[in-house]
Amino acid sequence: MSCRIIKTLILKDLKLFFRDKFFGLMSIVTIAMFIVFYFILPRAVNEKVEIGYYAPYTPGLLDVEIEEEGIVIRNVETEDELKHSVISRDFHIGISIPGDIHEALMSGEEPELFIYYSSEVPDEVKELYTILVNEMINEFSGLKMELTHHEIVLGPDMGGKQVPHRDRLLPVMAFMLLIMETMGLANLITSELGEGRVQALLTTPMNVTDLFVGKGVTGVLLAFTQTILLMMVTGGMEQNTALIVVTLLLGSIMLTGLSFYIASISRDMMSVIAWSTLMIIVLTIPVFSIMIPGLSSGWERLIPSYYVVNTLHATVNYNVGWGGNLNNILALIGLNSAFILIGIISLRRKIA
Amino acid sequence: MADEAIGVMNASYSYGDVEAVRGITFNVDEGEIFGFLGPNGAGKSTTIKMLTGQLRPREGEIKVLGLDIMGQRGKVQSQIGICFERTNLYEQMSAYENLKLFSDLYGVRDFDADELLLRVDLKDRGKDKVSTYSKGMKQRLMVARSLVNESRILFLDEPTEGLDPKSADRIRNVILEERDNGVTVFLTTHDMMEADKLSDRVAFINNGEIAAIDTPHNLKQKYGKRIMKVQIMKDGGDLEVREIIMDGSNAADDIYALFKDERIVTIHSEEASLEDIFIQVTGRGLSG
Repeated sequence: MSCRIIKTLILKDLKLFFRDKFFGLMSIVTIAMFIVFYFILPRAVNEKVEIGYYAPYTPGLLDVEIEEEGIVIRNVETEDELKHSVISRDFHIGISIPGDIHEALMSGEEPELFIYYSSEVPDEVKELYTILVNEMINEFSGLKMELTHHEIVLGPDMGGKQVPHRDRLLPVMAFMLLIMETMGLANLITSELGEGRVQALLTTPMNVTDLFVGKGVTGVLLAFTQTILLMMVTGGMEQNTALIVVTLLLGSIMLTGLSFYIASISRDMMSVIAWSTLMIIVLTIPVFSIMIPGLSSGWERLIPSYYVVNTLHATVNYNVGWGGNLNNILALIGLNSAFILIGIISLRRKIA
Repeated sequence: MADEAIGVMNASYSYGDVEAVRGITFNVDEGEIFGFLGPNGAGKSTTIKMLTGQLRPREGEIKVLGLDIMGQRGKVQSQIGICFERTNLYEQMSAYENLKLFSDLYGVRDFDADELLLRVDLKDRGKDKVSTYSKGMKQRLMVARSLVNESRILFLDEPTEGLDPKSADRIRNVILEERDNGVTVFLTTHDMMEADKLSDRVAFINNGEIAAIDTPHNLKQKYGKRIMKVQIMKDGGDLEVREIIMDGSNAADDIYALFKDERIVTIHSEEASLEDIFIQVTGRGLSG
């Protein structure tokens, strides 16, 4: 193995990568777009539950904002205004309170209330709001049952510091960048193989080991530096920096192995894109468990990308350190070995 | 006697069940241009791949510059230059960058790309992307690339195929210049005229076997017929062409009779071409 040859190969590949109109431009545009996208998204999660009500005979009845508990209750002038506010999502729910509610409650009758929800509120949430409204009415009527509550949060208390969408998306964006570079490297290798340039390189003092090391380092460099740049610009590396660097490095190595494999089964740019798309569909499944936590059912652990995305998510968004991510890191190291080995064996067969 | 640059002993290669090269044996002396001739599919490119360490022979032994090609491939490859049949340049890079890349891979110090580009008439276009080049320009650059490491042996696989006369001539001149500098040239081609003009010795390969090997002159002597074509005018003014085989036992008498009895218009001597000899030796033409 020759360092001089590997360095020459890496410089050549980087030059060619950025001269490729499609992948070179896509890399720059994608990272710029992700950074802009990140900063456009809100930096905090609105944790307030805003409730509107219409009570024609008791205006200003409950016009209060209970900051500590994150509930805001506001009065509106007309029932139509209440409905429009719910539709336009100014309120999570709207309650229309009849004028005779007080008398009805005092006389033991069952007053009728109307609760307006927007169309996408799920049934479970509707039930919760119904309980909340009952509680409010009970308090209003003096029928509230006096109980002492003890609130115990299991795990880190995220009250008041929910993960904003943009930070939830950050590991996803980093992973998407890694995938972009996988396609670029696979395309570079495929075109070199298809047009006989690898053959020319291998008749110089360069050997197959130099070739694989050169391509591997190029792939890791491209993927790793771009994801690091994204994380640095967006502030994603402010905590657990070393762990994030290691995770991104392992992710880059894994996807470099994958790009070797894609190159070994592709003939041209179109087949690289086709195979990569298939891989992307599978590899992005764990991403959804971060974006929509309720979807997680455990089986996404079978997909290797889970360990990259999950580690990044836990580290960046929940400040989980080495101890909490040890299993993920060990899994990544094992998976990396497998990916690189499979990639090299299949590509070597194609070169031979 | 010149040292041996290439020695091939009973080398064979198969692609699956298809035998591409069958037990070929030959040697190439240092400083000679060795033409390796045969039609498409005869085994020329497979032989070149074995000689340059791209393919491992299934059987036999190949020594290049006295070294076993498979055992010491790296050492051999640092001393040889290859011009492939298929253009495999980096098209998004300039000619200068292509040459610089390969000189860096070979570890050439004080590399002068301009001088090489000048030799192949590409100096003015050296900074342009190769994708903007014509086929002839690309091929000239391929030849220049094979020269970056000042190799001791040049392997040229069909270097002038399909080129315009100017590009082909430029490449032929480079080949002759390299030979004059003491470089051994292993040239595969199916252009017999070119092989005849350039080669010190030629080998005919057909169906993976060497059918004949010698200097073009000796091959013509051995297999060819020298013919004298005489155009005579008959009494009615009609023209007639007669052929006299120069190597025949009655050649002198036949020529004397012609001069004595006939009105001779033109006389031409003809010798067999390498293509004629190839057909005679292998029973097939070069185009097939």
